[in-house]
Amino acid sequence: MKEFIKYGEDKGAEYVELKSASTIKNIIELQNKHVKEISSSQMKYYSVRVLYNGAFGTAYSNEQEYKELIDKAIKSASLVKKDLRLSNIPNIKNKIKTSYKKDLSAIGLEEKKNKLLELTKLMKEYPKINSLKLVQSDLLENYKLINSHGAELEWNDSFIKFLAYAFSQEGNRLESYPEVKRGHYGYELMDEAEKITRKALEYSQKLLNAKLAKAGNFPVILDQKLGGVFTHEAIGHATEADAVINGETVLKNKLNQLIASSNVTILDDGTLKTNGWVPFDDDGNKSQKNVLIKKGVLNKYLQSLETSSILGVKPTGNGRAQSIANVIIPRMTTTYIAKGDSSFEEIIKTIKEGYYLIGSMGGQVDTSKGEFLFNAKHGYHVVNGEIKELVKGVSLTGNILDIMPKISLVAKDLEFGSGLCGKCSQTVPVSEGAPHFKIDIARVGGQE
Amino acid sequence: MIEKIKEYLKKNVEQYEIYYEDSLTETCELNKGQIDVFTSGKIKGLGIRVYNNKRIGFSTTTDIQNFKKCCDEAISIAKLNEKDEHFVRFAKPGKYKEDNYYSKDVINLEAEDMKKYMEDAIKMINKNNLKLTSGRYYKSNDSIHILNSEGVDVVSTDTWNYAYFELLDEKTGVSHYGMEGSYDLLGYEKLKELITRLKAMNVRDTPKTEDMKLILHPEAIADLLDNFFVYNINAENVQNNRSLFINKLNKEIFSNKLTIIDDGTIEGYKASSRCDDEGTSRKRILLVDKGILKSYLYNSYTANKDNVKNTGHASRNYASIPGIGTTNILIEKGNKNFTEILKSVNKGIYVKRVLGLHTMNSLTGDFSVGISEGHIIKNGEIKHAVKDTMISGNVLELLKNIEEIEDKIHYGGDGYYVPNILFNKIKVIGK
Repeated sequence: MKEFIKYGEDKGAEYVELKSASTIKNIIELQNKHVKEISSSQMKYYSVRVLYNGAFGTAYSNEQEYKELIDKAIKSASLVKKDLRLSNIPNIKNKIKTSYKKDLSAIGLEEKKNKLLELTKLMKEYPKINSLKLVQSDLLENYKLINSHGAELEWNDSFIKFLAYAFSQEGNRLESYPEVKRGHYGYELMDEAEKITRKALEYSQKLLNAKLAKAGNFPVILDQKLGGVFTHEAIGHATEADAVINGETVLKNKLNQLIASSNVTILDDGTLKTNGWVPFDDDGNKSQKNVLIKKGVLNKYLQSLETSSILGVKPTGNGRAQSIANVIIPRMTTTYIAKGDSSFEEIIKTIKEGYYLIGSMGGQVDTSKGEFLFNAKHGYHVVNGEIKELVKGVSLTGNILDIMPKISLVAKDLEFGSGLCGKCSQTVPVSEGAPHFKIDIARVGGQE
Repeated sequence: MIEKIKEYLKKNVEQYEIYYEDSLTETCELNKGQIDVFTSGKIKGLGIRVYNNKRIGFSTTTDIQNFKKCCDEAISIAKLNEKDEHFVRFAKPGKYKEDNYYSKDVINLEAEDMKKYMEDAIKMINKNNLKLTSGRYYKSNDSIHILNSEGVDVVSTDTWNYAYFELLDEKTGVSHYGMEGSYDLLGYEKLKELITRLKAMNVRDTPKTEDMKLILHPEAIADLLDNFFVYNINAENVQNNRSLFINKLNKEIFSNKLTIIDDGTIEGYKASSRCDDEGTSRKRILLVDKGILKSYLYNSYTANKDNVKNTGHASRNYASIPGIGTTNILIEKGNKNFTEILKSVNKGIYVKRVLGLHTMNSLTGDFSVGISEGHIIKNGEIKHAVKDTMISGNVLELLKNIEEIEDKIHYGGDGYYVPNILFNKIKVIGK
């Protein structure tokens, strides 16, 4: 690869970055006891990024034709009038291998299929279940990055996902409940498959009898998974430096100001070996632990190589792209609220009437208006400090700057989820976490 | 190359399908009102499905020269698979229209042209005292060659380009986003509309929590149908007991004012093409006729399973097995114009864009979402925009209780060609 760096420099590029990604992916999907899909794929991609006359240009292909890609990238960069000067260009050399207990390549597709078939037997313990979808997919990837400043990085990654999606029926009523776990592990993730499947089966049935929540303004307590998504949607996105530079976030010009209650500390940590782990980011910078909000005060934005160069700060290791074919932008890794000092029981007791919201069906945020919405998988009505009936179809909406000061109590029981984050038509794996916490008043959407 | 792959498969399997995709993309990203970076991409991908001893196997690669490895992998996966009694055959060849569902102008569009288009857009935005915070111009040109053992041998060429704009009104702090999209060269109509819509959001307030009438804009209708109707009308979900429309064929599911059609044949419409992703020719399919469910959406496998005619809705790329997807969704227009409909509303809300509809429960139709663009209607007139406001309800109930459908069709995005619709009641959650 190195000879092409020189080719790019000879053509006048100020910075040259070459990447390759080679993946082997398997998918097994079962519909009840029947195999819906077994498939395997082998992909190779090559990409180039150059800085030429102060602008980036990028090109990619499925064929290893770096010279052609460099020519294209330089041509597109020459169309752009910019004066970008990179600072803190990464030059680290490292070779990383994701550690695992059970090698994905040592286990055949047949064994993987049989494991899923075994799990479908659980269905008969849950009489109202009418269908169960199980998907196990895994990915082995070799990722390489070299640049004209001497960075030489390679990551041999092992990634696995397991999804159980249970559908239940009673009369004409249908319900469903998905439960998923994904991350940089080997096949040992499947040791948790029964637990995950049972949760989907159990809650899919339970929701048949759940009531619809009341709409209105209530105190709420969020569990770790929904709390994590809240942290990701409401705060994380608003701290991404590209939004700051573009003036698209309500948190622009808010650095060092109190924007949340003083018991809220929020971090983004790319070094944690969760679903959001990146040993180095797609710019080639080492990942690190970043404190975004320190005791309520906005402390830092998430940076890529480009945004940090523009803003004159250090990179934070958050330059990420969906694949080597995509443009690198500031993205979260593992974003979470730090442990507080309350307990779940104490928090519940403080609620006269409100909701305990659990799990996430996803969310969306408009960072420039500061508005967010997300939906819980289920929840409980809380009355006079006690957890009452199960409810479904509950969502939470609000404005970042209004709601952050209303987080009044934070528990100690921090846990992480594993999700996918979409931004600018790119999806990357992330983790999000929180302990249980209380928001004094929030707008709850229900159908009752 | 395709011929070589065909010869190899012919020798080794009973039935086969080759899906070969050759795509070129060019993306121009804009940040802070300026052109920021261009990315050009070139991908060739191959997807192979085989059928041997009643078992299906699938494998895919971007390493085209090494196609034998991909074919062998598909064959060995078929051995692992269980017997599939529902599989009959791959798609049958149809009567294809000419391969002219694309634009030569878009194929020939260069990065310089995309730059020029965006620069003119920026001028228009600035002239209106607004700022383009970020944006994108994306262009793709795909050629898909599908060949199978049933005799399908069809090439389908497709062009698509869109310009996406995120605008900010610095005076009010309000922002909005939208896009121009077409298989052909882009104009500026949607951008002009977006500018007008953003300016109309200069006064925003939160209403009281109460029930009122609802008008949904074509963009919101598209979002609603995409997250609810499309899921439930998918034959695969129906066959697997995962749909609200099980046993509902020829029964009333919606208001008798509502007729919904899927038509992938109309020239110039976004999702039109000569065939679906298995090589079945596109058709016009009546889905809902005056509230009565007439058809599900099928690909070859699900159609064989139900023993019905394939509607031609296989949807995939080279790297995935065929699922089911819509083409252009059309709602038949009603007979009152928008002004008349508006005048009939004493107290209501006009919702153009919602936040987070993908989080809804497609199986029950229950939803509660934020409003990112909506206006209060009072005594037949559109008043201020709303903020920090939600609507919640049930989509099935909504679609059963339609009061009026507008007499005009608009493009709602993503292949939806639909009118404004007035519904009798929605729960608005505000103060």
